Amino acid sequence: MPPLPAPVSSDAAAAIASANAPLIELRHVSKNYATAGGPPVTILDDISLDVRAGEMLGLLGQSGSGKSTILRLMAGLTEPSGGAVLSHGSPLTGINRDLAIVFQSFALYPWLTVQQNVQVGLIQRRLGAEAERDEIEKALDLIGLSGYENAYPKQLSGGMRQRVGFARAIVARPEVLAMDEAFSALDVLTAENLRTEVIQLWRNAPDTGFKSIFFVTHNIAEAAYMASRIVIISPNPGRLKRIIANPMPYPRDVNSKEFAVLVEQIHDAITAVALPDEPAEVVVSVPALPAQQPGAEAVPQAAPGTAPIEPIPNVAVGSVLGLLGILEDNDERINLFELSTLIGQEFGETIAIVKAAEMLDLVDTPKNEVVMTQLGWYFLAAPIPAQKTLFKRQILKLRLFQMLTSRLQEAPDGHISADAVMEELAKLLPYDQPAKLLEVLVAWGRYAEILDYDEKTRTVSLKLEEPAEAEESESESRE
Amino acid sequence: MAPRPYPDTTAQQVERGWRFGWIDVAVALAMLGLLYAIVSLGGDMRVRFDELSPPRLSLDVKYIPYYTARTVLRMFIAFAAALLFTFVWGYVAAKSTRARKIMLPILDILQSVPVLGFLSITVTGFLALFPGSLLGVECAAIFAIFTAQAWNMTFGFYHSLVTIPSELLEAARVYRLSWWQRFGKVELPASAIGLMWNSMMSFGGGWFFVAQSEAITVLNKNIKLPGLGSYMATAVEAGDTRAAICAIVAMIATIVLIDQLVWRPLVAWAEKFKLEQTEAKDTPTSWVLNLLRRSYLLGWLSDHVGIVLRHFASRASTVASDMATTVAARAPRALRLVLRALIWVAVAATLAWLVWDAIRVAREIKTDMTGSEMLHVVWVGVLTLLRVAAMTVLATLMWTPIGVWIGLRPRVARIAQPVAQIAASFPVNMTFPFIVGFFIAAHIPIDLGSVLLMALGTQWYILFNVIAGAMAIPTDLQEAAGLFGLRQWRLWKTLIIPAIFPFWVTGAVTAAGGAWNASIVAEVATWGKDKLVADGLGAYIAQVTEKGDKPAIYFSIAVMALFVVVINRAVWRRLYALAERRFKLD
Repeated sequence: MPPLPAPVSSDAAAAIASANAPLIELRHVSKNYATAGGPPVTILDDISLDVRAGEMLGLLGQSGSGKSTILRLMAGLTEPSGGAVLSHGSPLTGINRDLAIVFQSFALYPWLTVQQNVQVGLIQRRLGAEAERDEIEKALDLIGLSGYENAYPKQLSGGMRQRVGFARAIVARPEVLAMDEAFSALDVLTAENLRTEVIQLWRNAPDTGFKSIFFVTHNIAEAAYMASRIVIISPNPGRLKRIIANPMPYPRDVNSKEFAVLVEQIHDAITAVALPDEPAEVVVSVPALPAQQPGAEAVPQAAPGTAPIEPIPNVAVGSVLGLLGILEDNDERINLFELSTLIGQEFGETIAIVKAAEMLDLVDTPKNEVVMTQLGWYFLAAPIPAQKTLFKRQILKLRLFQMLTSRLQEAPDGHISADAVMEELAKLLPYDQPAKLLEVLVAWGRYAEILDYDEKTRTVSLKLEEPAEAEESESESRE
Repeated sequence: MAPRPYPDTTAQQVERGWRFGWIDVAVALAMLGLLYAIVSLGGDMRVRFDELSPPRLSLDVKYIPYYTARTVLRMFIAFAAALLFTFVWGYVAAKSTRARKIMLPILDILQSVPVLGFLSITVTGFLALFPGSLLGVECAAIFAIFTAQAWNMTFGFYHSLVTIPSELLEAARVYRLSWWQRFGKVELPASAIGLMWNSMMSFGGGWFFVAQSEAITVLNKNIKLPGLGSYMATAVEAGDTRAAICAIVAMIATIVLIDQLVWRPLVAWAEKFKLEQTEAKDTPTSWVLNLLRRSYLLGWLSDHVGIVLRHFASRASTVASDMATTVAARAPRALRLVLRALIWVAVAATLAWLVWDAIRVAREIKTDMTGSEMLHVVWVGVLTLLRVAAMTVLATLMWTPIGVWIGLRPRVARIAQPVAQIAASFPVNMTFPFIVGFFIAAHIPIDLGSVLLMALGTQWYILFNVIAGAMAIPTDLQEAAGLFGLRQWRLWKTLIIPAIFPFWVTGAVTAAGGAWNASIVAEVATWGKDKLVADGLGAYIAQVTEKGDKPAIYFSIAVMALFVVVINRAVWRRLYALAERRFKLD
């Protein structure tokens, strides 16, 4: 992978950044997790990123892109496998004292009252009882929670609970306020309201003492609405893809032309990463490529004559069929982002479904559009048995299924243990979770009636057309 | 009064009294009375004990309250020790992945050793520790009760600690709570409910062993500690039926009273530690807790004394953790290495000593026991295994239909479940002599009768777990079954058996474990002058304990532990895994 360009990509961003040294900096950070019985999975790969004074930095990525891990690295909750985390220019040891987190699940202690929960943020400051009470009161006033001091979290609505989370972070007086998907567990209206309030808080920085806000989100509009700098990361493994400066003044008007242009820009960036128009970039090609070296991913090309091994997106077959139905209702063509809004799924999820359909040649994706193919049209019109046959034919074109079925045919007793399959998958696709992948393989294989999975023995086998099942169901109905 | 900005909850907002009232008089009296009782009863423990003329127990009914109090005190001392052990062992195992690798297997082994086996092994040692005093026997009894409670509680606590949602712990780390603050504000509250239910179950199980360990025969000496269990034993020896019945009534009353005064209030109070973020509709209540909440005195104490103590503990822990960090930062590497080496040496020394001791015991066994005798022990182990299996099957066949019938009727269940729990707590071994009398009269051989004796104490675990399972069947599944006309066997096959299976496994494991323990009591039974001995490992252990035949005690207990471990791995673990995979209703 080529070295990243310097994070400053435009004059505007440079203006925001001022001359200060970064508050927190990640330098070529990577993170691996050990998996049971397999090689470690890489979550983050060569991430270089900094949080500067005076900015609201938004980290945008779909689920599984490792964005929460980046936040935890900055907080000192976890340590990098490679590279370094710096705080004010020196290596971070232990918990980062300059950062407070607002959690996605609120992380309030249900047995403590609002006041006691907020007090948890204060403990480290070691004030006297009097000063503590003042601080808590001030924070609760600021965040609109006065009068709720003695309530328990479970007596509050989601929005109110997250306010307690904010108050707890505020009283800790951090330089950086970190938000980990802080609004994603809230309903749309509450989230909207709270976002606006956070921006207000941010603009009245003297009240709170924050120098910067760092937030993690999968919501494109949220990033565009709040961030002064947007960082886009792609999943499997998490890599920095683009940094977009967003100098629009606050409060931002979501209906303005500028806003629409920015959102479009983000959309394009994400699509270019997730659904490239040229053939997919191959991560590992078949079978013997020298061991992965850092920075070597740009090189691999599929060996001539062999199709690349692509992971199968974790998508239900039903979702793919649903996508075709929607395309039919929309003249066989729809914009990806309209689709995302229409089906009410987050963008990453939508892309996964489209990608699955594309792998089966049921749709095509020129630019931001999803278009039904001829095959897709046949598929939709066909009766269920024909659909299954077609589906079977299509998935047998995928390398993963080809390999799995040929292994199964070679296997002496016709089945392979799930662990063996997962081990193989981990070798072929080191960035994917083998258990998830196996789950999808089995689900698709079952729909196509080519694979079966025995829960008891935990083995995968080829589906045989046995009359046994029919007999059994007959005897059931006779009773 | 301004309206509250949030909905009222019943449990948390019982009005506190605004001045000293009759409740406070009661609370004050209760506190003083408790203090006096503990001091005076504790003093009585150190009674001199002359082997030639052991203290006699009076069968006068008026002494029952005193004996009961002694028994209860024993239970609570053991419980306190078990709680302490739970905190230390469970916490370290949860926090250190390295220590866990040794600590959990040790716990697993300890759990398989029959409780009365611990008594057999330790009683002579404790006697030697306090010569000429009953304190040694007292300690052995308390230790036996401790072993009946501790392992289960520790496993429960460990499990709660490792399943605390990670964000709650991350918040504690980000806001830099000290070790003590994290324990007090996060870890302890998060595991409170699990710890409490486990304590309740373990405490209930403890009654069986307190009753047993108060009257023991060791080295051919008959020793009786003053207590309800020994009172009962004396009454049976003397053939005093009236005294025996009084003792049983006192026992039941004590169990119910402790349930009402200790466990119910704790259950109701612990409600606030639920990790769910929504408010439950049906919250447990306790009249005692409601009374205590109205007490002005307790409120005052909590506001003035409690807060000072809490502040002190919090400050002290911050200071301590500060000191620890500065010391750690300043201490030279060498010192830290030495410290770590010392810990390793201590662990290694303990292990070496254990191994050495085991080898010594093994040698003794080898010299003192013949091969055929060892084989005999294994053979009687198989016999006891058959009894345990028979008990489990019979209790399942009998109680599953009844449990399901009760569980599907919420109103009946609300009454039946606590009754079953109290029945499980009741030390049935107190009633064994009567039943044995019946066996003798009816000419039932003890080889079969002992299965019934085992079942008496342990069947309840199957019953109340099945009730719980049937209560947990979702209504929509029941309605669907009704709609499709599933009835009788089809209904059981498709809905009821799969739904209650995980609960049944839990109940059956507990029941079978209890049956192994009970076999030591159930396979040897006396009624007046008649003594019945069955062929079984339990009877064997009881007999060698009486003789004080040390190698045989060790060997037979090891064999029983081995049986339990093997059955656990071969049967129960698999059933658990199956239940987890196939039949979990979430």
